[in-house]
Amino acid sequence: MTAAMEPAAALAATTPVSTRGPAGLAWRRFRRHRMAMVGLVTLGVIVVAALLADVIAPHHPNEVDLAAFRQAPSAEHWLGTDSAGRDVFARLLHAGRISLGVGIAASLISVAIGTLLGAVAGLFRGWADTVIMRTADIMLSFPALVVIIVVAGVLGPSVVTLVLAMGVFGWPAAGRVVRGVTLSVREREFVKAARSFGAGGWWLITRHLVPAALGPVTVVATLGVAQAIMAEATLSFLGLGVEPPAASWGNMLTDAQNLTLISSMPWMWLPPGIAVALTVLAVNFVGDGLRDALDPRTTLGALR
Amino acid sequence: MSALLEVRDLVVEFGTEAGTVHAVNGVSFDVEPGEMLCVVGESGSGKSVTAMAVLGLLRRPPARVSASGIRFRGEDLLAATPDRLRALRGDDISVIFQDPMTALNPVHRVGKQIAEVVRLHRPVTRKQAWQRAVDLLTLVGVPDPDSRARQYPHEFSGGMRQRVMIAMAIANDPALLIADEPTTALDVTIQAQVLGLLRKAQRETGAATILITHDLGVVAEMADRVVVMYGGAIVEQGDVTTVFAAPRHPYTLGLLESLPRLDRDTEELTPISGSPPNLVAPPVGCTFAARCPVAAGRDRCVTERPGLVPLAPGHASACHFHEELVMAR
Amino acid sequence: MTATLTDEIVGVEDLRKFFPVRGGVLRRQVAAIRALDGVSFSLRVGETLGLVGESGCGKSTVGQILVGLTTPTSGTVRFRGVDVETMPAADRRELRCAIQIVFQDPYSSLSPRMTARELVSEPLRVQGGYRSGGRDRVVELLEMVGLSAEHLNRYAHEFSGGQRQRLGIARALALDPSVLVLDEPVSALDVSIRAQVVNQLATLQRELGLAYLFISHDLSVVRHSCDRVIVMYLGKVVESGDKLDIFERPAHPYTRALLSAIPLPDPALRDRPDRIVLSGDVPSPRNPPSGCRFRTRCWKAQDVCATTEPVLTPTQSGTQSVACHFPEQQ
Repeated sequence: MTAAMEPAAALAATTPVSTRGPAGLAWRRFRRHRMAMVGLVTLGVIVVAALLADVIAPHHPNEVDLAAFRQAPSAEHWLGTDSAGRDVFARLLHAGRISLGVGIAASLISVAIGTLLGAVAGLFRGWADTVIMRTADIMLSFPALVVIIVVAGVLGPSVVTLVLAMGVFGWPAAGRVVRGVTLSVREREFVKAARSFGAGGWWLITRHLVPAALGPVTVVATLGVAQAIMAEATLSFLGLGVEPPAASWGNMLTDAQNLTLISSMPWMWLPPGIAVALTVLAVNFVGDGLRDALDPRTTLGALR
Repeated sequence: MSALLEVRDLVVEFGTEAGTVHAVNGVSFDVEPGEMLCVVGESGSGKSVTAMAVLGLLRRPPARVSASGIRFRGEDLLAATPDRLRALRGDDISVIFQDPMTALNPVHRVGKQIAEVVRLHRPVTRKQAWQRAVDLLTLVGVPDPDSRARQYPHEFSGGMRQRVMIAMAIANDPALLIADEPTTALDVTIQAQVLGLLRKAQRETGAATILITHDLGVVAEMADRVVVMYGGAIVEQGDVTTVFAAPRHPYTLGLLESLPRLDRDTEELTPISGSPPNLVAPPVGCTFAARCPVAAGRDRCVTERPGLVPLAPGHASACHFHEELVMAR
Repeated sequence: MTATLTDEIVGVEDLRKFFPVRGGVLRRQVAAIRALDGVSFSLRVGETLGLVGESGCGKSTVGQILVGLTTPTSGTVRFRGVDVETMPAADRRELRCAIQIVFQDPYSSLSPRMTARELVSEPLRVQGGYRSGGRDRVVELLEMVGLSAEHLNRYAHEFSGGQRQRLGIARALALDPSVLVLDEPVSALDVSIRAQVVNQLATLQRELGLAYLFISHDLSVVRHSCDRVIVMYLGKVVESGDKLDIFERPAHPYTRALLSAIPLPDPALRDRPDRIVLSGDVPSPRNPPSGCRFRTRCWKAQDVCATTEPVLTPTQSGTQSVACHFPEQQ
């Protein structure tokens, strides 16, 4: 037999010579998505800056310079200093570590829980499905932020509590997506084939259902990171998230509760505000790009 | 008599991620008034794309369509405005698709949908159009048409839906009917009904019919003339008896030889080796050369694309060595 | 049935499968789709048994039951003479390996996220047989179906339809089965590819001594490939017999109609006078006709057909059975 492809397949897929997995094809589509690439580059810059905070920032984030508090930006303090005389630029970069870290960790936890529960619900149906999905409904009907505030109030505010609370409350989004994918994939013949030669539930979930759901789950996870960063900022702003002196974008904004500061000292709140907005926007662009790259229905549309 | 439809040098390409797919490469054919022309080919042969291009139904882009002429009753369809094409479709030219469920609107009554087609092209009242719908359902053999007209598509079986599609297609007495794999989704006993109905519809309306199919049985059953397509080009055309009895292209011959027969026993099937060509990078020479027993060891087949040459009135083959196939069967 | 237990490898007895139809607020069962309603047959070692009929006749459900994708509502499945129901767990595991299935759609039946090697080795990995020498086994399987080691790392979308179906066959052969359920194995393939796969299946059967349950609506392919044929209509067997019985001497009106409905690739046979075109549609299996299920479309139907269900009875030839009050006399 020759390596020639069937024309129908050629229309939908790729050249017959190179070996490309589904991930390779998705990446190729992603690269053509201009906004997503802008988002990815922006995000990359933010992540690198946060990781290299010690190298880039000339000051320690918690170093208090009592002689110079609430100073406007200068050559010494690029973004000025805050009410305690700490360097805003250094705090901004270090805060980025915490904010991004919290966002990614919380999103990963919720996606992991959601993927497993969604796959179990979709594969086994019956009472497992009912219990899992009704629980998801109940959790979605709660105002999550209020619940997290209560939890943080009871357990005391800490980064770990914050991550766990957001992680646990975030799973229904991923759960629903994965269940949906599972319901359609379990009827596909390659899953039936696996069942026919004796594959059990765990095999089906790990080898077929989760890989099939990986695309949509990645999108949910990405958008989840943005949500978690926003939630972290909100809670920290309210004093229920990341505890000072550790810096996060949210608790840096706490200073902006003062009307005088808002009007006269924008360097204290504008940078973290912009950082949150920029990060969330970049993450969302990447998420949209991923969705388009991973959804085969848009394959031909993206070519125009 | 001049042809009802003339297609000259039709080329259709699709831009895809993998490169340009050359779906149709210079196809020319005529449809005479009132004839039943079967276009037969496998998936990727370009048979459906050809029909969709004629109808102006390809989305552009990704499709690119060019031709030196697509003329219906002398009118250039390639230059026609979208409005003009819409006016033609459903009136002088109508289509029957493989899957009637996607072609019918699930939220409207079947009778209303047929009546709409009539009202779109004819100055009739709502009541007259409805009556015409009921008459058409009667004509296509839908039992109890008065009450069936008031039902929704999901209340019809696959075969009945295809009857409804035929009723819609002949509602305005078209001059040309294009049926794209109209029975592929149907069971054989239902297929027999629908094919019979298509013939009846053709008789009643006198419409020329282009029947697109992959099934040589359907071709033998229905066609006056047959066009055989492979890899985006016509490889053979002629009247159905001649083409089946004395094919002059190795692909046609190979297809006929590879078929298992219902009416007699066959020891081993004679397959065509290999796979259809990759239309992203179609071969320079004959598209069938890589699979062709006649082409084995012959440079000309690999380097030079054969054109369709007339062999006898109405019979043509696109093979450099067609004369070797005389009496091959 | 006619097969003795010694040459039977798989047998089914009075197989029934009802799918519940639920309705109302409480999701109570309000009706049942009788997909299979008392089907019995034997598949013999090394033979090809055709299971034919139109959509909804239950032929695919039989295949799904045999490979354990669904359980019958009632009836028994025998494997090498032993009731599967009462089998010890170890034997049942062996049964999972012994009967394998090839699906119709070569696109849907292969995971788009796996390479040829992963696809073909999946049964071995599931059953724990993929350790040392696993790659060699995969290459051996690929070569058995006319592919080669160079295809190992390609993804499914990089194969043509015919090659994909070969991959599906290689996967089904991985566990050394003795029975293959072929569920419309060539129906989704292009005409020029069909013959290749049909021949490949015949070669494999000869070399490996496989028994095939060949489920198909394409009677031309069935005539070519099968030794014996069972014709089904609405969940019941209406006729069974050797290939020549069914194709040359069909006794049931439905078999006759089915055969004559198929367009022959020969314009000279057009409008043959013995052509039977059935009227009407296949009734819903949710509410099948009383008596003989075919009577609503049958030109021979009498009063008795509505009141008494015909049983599958052997004809004089001994190899053929028919369920009809008025069978064709040959």
